[in-house]
Amino acid sequence: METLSLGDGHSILGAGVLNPAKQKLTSDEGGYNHWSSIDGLPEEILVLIFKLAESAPEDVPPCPEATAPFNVSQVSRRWREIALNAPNIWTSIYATNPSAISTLIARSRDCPLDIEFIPVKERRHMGTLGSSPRCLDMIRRPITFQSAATTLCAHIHRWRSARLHELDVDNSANFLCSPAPRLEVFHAARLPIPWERTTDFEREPISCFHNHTPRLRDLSLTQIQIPLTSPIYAGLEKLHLSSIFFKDTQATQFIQVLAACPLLEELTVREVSFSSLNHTGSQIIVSLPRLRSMNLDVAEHHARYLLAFIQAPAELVLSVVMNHMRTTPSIAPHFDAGALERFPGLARIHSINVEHDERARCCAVVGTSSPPSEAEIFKITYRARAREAIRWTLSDLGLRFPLPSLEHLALSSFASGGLEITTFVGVLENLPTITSLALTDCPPSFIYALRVDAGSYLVCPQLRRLWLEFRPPPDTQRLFEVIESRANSNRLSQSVLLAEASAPLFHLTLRGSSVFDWEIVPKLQQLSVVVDWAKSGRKISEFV
Amino acid sequence: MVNLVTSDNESFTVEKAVASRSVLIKNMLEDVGESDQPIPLPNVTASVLKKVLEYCDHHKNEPMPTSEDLAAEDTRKRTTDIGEWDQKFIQVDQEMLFEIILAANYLDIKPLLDVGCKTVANMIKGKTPEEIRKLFNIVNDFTPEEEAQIKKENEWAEDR
Repeated sequence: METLSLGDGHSILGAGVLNPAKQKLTSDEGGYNHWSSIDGLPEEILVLIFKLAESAPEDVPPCPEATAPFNVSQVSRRWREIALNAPNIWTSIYATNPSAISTLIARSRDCPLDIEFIPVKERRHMGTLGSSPRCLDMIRRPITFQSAATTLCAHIHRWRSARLHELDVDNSANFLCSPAPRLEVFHAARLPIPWERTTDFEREPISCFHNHTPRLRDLSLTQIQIPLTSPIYAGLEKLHLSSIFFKDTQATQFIQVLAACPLLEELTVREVSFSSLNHTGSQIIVSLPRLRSMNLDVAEHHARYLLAFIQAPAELVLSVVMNHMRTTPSIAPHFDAGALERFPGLARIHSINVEHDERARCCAVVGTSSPPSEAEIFKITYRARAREAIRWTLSDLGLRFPLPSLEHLALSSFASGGLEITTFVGVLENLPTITSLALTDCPPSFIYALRVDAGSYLVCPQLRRLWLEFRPPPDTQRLFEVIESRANSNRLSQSVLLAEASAPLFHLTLRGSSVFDWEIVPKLQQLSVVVDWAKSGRKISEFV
Repeated sequence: MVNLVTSDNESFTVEKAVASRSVLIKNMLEDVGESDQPIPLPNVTASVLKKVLEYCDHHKNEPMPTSEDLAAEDTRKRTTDIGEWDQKFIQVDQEMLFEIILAANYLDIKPLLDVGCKTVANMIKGKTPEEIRKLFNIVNDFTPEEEAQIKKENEWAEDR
């Protein structure tokens, strides 16, 4: 029987187009089930179906008898013949019985293998056998990669992808020593040891695949240190490093790794540190024109260091979680003069949302593009010393952190502190392009600071829309004075230039508690201002 | 507009953009140029073509899969996820499902072939051979010797 290359969609389709007679398979051919309509499908389509049924091991219980291709190979004579003659449907190898693994390896012949040993808790069980006693036993006591390592590692030259979670590195490194010329994806996570501290990331470096992985494009390592000098890092499109301390390694080495990956599309660096940052000497700026997402969750000084040496495209979505804050008073010391050149996505930021959580002592600053997409362009989360960090960060907005297209600023949950009034005013002064401002649960003093007085500096000269959701409520009379002054800002400003540049407020949204004196609303409506008010609070996302 | 004639001699007049979702028809149209000649589809019945054209009409504005897309599928891990509209569309009886798959293969409509095959694959997943037989009305035609061989093969399932 003819064997079809499954991955080749053309060959499957071509069979239909070039040989239409094959479509009309009839029950006259030997071995067919005359009364089963599925057996009217030609062999190549059944192979495709068998492959699709096999391709997602996380979806099925680890019981071979209920898992394709084992199940389909035992349905009928025709199905068995088709299955045994299609080696590429036997290539997904997962944590199942060692004998089943041997069968898969034998029946897959020379096809590339996809190895997946994932923790049982990550599986999504389905099928009636998922709850059978034998399956439950396998789920409770899955085999480990180590128990099948000898068999699997004899075929490393055939590995196309390997996802080895909970890997016992100390007992596996010796197995992973052969070259892997066909390996495209390698994800490995170290088996957690219960008595170890989770922050203890210092490990002995290991060498894998004899440093020969010429086709590797997707590398993810968790608590496994492969030296940054290894050629395994070259040419990657996806790189995820997690919980690794690169001992005796300078961060410059990591920058060189990135320089060797000009096609990098995804970069995640989480709880990774280096023995030294080496600020001295000139550094290259690494251009990564295809980078689409960068997630940094590292110590603040490491994040700043990495941000300083990467040039990304405008499409980049940047997410930074800063831990273990030191006292560096800016978002990134090198993130000023060339920031727009290295992160042109900053120029697309239309909206900044700052959410403070005093109790959790963290703060998130999220920048999004303009409607209707409102795609997230960057997110910076501070987990420690959030108060200082937010002061530094907000002070940087518009200065070290250029935001030429920013129109909307939202601040929330500063009522109990976290941002001084002088800092707040300074922030607004640095962001003259803002046309809308949302303050949710902020001190009344923030609202009063928006008042325009003859002779005073006009903050937010373009402010046209204001959203106020207050707890506690501001003084009614002072709120009226603020709104009145903003509605007439172009008349009140003494500076001719500012008067011409300023815009009167025309839309006011008020949300708040019943203790606020809502009698003010009719008065506000007489100021040529559209007033949208409601006693109950609503989500800030309503505000555009 | 394009005129399609089915195996049971029924005519369908459809927009060129809809008919061209089929690579087979698209190539035919390119080969013959502008013509009013009906295109015969001897392997597709009217009831199946109606369903196929419903799919093509819904997806007519989507980009056609390129050769790069098809090549990328070789290296990517294939999933059996199906879009919401496609799931509803493919909720048909088994006979119609297999006819749609055959028509998609013949007409060279790769995305529809994928939807059909994924649907059948999802029906197979997690089922024992006996459950699959019952589902598709397949007779167990193994000889006693073959049954014994399969049983022997399955012994490893018990040897944990």
